[in-house]
Amino acid sequence: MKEIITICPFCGCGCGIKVSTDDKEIEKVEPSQSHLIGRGSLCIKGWHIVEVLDSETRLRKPLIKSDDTFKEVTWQEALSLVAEKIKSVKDKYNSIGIIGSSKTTNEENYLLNKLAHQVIKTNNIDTSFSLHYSPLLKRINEINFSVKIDDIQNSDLIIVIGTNLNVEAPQILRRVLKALDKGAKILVINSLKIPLANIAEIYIQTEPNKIAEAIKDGKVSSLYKRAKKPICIVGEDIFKGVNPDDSFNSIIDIFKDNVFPIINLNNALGAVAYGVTPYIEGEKEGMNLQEMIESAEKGNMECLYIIGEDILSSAGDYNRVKKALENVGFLIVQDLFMTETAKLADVILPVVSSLEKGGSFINMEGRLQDFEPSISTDETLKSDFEIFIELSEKLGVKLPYKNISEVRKEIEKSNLLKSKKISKVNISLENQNVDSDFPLWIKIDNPRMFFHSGSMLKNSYTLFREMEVGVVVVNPELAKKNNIRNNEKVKVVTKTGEITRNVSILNDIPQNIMVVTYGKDDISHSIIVPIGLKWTVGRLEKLS
Amino acid sequence: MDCREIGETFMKVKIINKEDVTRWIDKIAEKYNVLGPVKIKSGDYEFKKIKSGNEISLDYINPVISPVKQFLFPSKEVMMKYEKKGKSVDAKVEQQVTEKTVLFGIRTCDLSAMLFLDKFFLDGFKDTFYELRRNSLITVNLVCTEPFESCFCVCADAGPDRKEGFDVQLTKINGSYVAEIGSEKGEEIVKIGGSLFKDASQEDIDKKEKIVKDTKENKFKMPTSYFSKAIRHVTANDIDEKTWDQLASRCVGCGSCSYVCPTCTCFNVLDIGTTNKGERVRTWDSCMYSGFTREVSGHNPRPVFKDRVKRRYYHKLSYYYMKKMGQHGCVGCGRCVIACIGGIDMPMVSKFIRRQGQ
Amino acid sequence: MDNIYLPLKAEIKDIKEETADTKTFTLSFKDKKVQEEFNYKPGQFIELSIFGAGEAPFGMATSPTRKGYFIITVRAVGKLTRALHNLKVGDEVGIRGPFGNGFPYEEVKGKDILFVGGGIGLPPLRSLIHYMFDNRQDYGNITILYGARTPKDLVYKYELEEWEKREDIKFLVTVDVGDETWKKDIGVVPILFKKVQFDVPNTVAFVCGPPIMIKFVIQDLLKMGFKEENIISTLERYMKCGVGKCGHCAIGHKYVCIDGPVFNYKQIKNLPERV
Repeated sequence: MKEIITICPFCGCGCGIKVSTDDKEIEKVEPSQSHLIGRGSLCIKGWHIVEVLDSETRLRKPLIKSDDTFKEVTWQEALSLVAEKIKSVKDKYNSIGIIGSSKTTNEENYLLNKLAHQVIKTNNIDTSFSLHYSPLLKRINEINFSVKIDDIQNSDLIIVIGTNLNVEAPQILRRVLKALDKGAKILVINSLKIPLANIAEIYIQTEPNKIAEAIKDGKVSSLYKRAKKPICIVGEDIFKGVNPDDSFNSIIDIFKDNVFPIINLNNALGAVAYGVTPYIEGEKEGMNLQEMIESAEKGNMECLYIIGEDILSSAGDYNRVKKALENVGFLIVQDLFMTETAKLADVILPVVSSLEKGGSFINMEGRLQDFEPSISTDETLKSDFEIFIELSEKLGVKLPYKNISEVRKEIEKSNLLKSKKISKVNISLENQNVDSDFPLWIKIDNPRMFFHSGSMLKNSYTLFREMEVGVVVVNPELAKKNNIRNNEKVKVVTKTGEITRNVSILNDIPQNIMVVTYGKDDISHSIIVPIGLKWTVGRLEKLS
Repeated sequence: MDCREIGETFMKVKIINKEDVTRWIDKIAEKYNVLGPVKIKSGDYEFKKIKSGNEISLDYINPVISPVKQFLFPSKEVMMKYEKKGKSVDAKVEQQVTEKTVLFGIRTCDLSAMLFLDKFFLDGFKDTFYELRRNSLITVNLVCTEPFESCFCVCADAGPDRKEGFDVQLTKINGSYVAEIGSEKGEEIVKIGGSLFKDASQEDIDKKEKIVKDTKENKFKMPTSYFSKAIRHVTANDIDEKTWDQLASRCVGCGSCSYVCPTCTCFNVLDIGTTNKGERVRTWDSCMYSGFTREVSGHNPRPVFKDRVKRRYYHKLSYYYMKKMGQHGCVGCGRCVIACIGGIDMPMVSKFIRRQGQ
Repeated sequence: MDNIYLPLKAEIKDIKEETADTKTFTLSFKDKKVQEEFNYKPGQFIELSIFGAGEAPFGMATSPTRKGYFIITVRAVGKLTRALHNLKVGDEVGIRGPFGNGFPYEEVKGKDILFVGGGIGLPPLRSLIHYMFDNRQDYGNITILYGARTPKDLVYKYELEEWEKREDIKFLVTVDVGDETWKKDIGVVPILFKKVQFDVPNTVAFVCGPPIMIKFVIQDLLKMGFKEENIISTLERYMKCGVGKCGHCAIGHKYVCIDGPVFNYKQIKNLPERV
């Protein structure tokens, strides 16, 4: 039995997990006490890493779709088909797209970049980072990632804007609480009353589109000026909010190097750092993820290769994204599980999990952490690395890497974030506002950080048990005004779509905000929000 | 021989030189399966199977998961394997660990936890899986003379040494270890050490008592009074709701407290496989998860964090549980201090309750 | 040594459809000797296993005075119960038990007995009702009040007719919403109280049914002057092991599978958590 410290592949904290393994099976999972991030603790996701990644629902064999059902095939058949379809695309710059993952290792991301640029010869390569964090991506060259997790613990003033840390980043919450227990001032600016607001010194409740004004408030600026080591933590209510660019720009203009953005996906930064992005200086700009969806909508996407990303569940604007994916000429999906996106694929390539491979991840601090495999690979599966090499060979280019360590030696100097080589990003997100048709702010929320709508995490028995039927949470006054009782089924309507949900009345929610929660094994919440966002405007309708 | 029934007859005290302990362990490892604290590459410690005393370091940092809990009540245990034969399903209970195992160098808090687990698993219905493992276990516990910042075994009356309940209890005095033998099993493994052990003199025994007294009085940083007051308030259920609200706001529902606590015993039972072939497995579970009490109808008697946090502390501290189990639900090992993401650990909560949330 | 977690094999002898989603299963241990020696108290429960689907607790609906078989009545709501509903006569299931404290059938000898059941709350009461029928001389007046949402939701319809005919008990039934053929009372179960007389100090009430029904019935009983110790009910909790180890059913310091599921109202009131 040996002990390996692996890095948790779920949220952006990147805790170290000590696994006891005999190479075939993992006997137990324990938080690593010596690990700088975890320091002896794990959240519910980390504790159940084996339940998720070693679940019986894992894809085990390559699949090709014929007549609406999937047939098991050999790797040779699957990869040959993929290579053939890619070769057949004439206009590589416009009709082929690659969507990478925040879960693949840095080494695999580096290889994917080479596959795209040098082999397939397309610049249309991106991850969901540009979709969910575009305000950050636009200013990413200015960010030094100088705030580290222990700086938060030693801070004397922590301003927490637009994030429920209990859910988005438990290890960050832990450091904030340690600072609080040492006497630091905690200031929470949010539209909804998060648990941290109950124990913070000051809670400023703002309208979802007035965060920029709130931070210019006199109280905030005077506290900030007097603080010796202030830190500003920013999260998803800003990046995926109702005026993302305006609010994030105001925040970074005021708080500058003291900003700590919560990037709640495992290796999202690593994907950008190692080239899985269309915005690389010196390269021709390619299509970003949203543009690839738009191209597919128009019928121009002949071949789309999606790696480790359940776009259909997590991008938002479900109906539109579904139609777009159905319009793709040939859809290739490479993933661990039969996700909603995988169900639409023409070919499915099953891959190994992070427990079965070595590599490195970059966490939300910008810290690179590498890890060894905990269990040996199932013979029927390949790693993303192996697939990229083999595909490359079938497309006529032999990439010169035999294993991960050879890639690692090369990539040390290629971190685009460190070298500030991300080019100008032209994504502009519309500001949303309430009006007479849509008088309420709506947030879609996942109560336990089951990100990507839980498409990965729901495979664990314990985590699936935690998920509850989705509801719409409303204020009692709002319910009374609309003559709606607790548990009544209602319609939630936005510009993007409409769904039905049961009402759950809560005192602590403002009258003009509704929260639509993620449902157990149900991604209907993504029907009502615009692509990339978690906030929108809408109305409530009684079912007659 | 049930370890809980030791009496005065076994209180023999021996002494062994520090350098000889390694040789003693080597000798034990020739006959038994020995698990001891091994330092691994990352700097963490792990209780692993060893062949020689050289592999372990006795001044180790207590691993976050209790070695005693992991051995007696593993985080994942296959209870039975089943297979359908025609219309009938044959279920076979998995072979249990019956090889004699020595857990060498556990801390006294973990030993106290073991005595709590004995009472829990063996009283009433006997948990057969636990029983088989327990019968094969021999413990050698170390009396801590340098407690960590997070330790408070003295408040919970579970350390740094015990007057009974141990097989062999080692206390370091200068260049030697005083070895108290508390049971037949303990006698057995001390005999393996043969001439490495000498009878302890009254002076040695006095030195040991003095060191323990000095540790209890001067080395702990946690004031004892918080704990007993917390017990009183929790039993009387007179803590105001605002205190629980504050504590619940810090809880992220990770379940770490239940997993690292050596006296927590909740588990889940799952059938993994199909109706034709598979395994019935039990895994650790936590009452801090909302799904723990949710019924099939969807109704949940503990729907919010506050209900669950309150329930946990009631279980650990209430006098009614103490009466049932004969001791506190807490041994002061300090693991919750390290593992709780929200910082809602036993010392903090005791202090908070005593100050009624200020 | 016997493993408390290992189920014993039992065969489904008979299946009756009670309502749209409820079936009654008659079971008997495959090993004749085990079935002979199997004894239990009214109000206890067994843990039923279907390997691959799971295990769940079900209250006994038969009295131990009737030998050779035992009966459970099951509503299909989850994975295991749905799997059970898909089985046929002759199929096998695993049984562990009996567990729980059972009804205090000894302590209430000589008293007048009132049974109040709602919907699927009747099955556990039936075990005690049959026991009392089989030991009729040990108990005083017996009154059974039963109700369900609609006539179709009544369980043991075939038996209720017999109960109406019996002269040594008083049996009344009601439904919340009637249908064209329903000629008896309409209304919630508490409406039946005004149709019967009780010698309150000498009567013990056994109440089983949906939580909201229990709440209102207990309120009415207290108003009538029943002592808290003489109102007896069963507590429902998610249960897993049935032997007081897994922790799922614990309320305060009591385990529903060991100290319950039968509790009197005084005990229920004093539990530190909401029920």
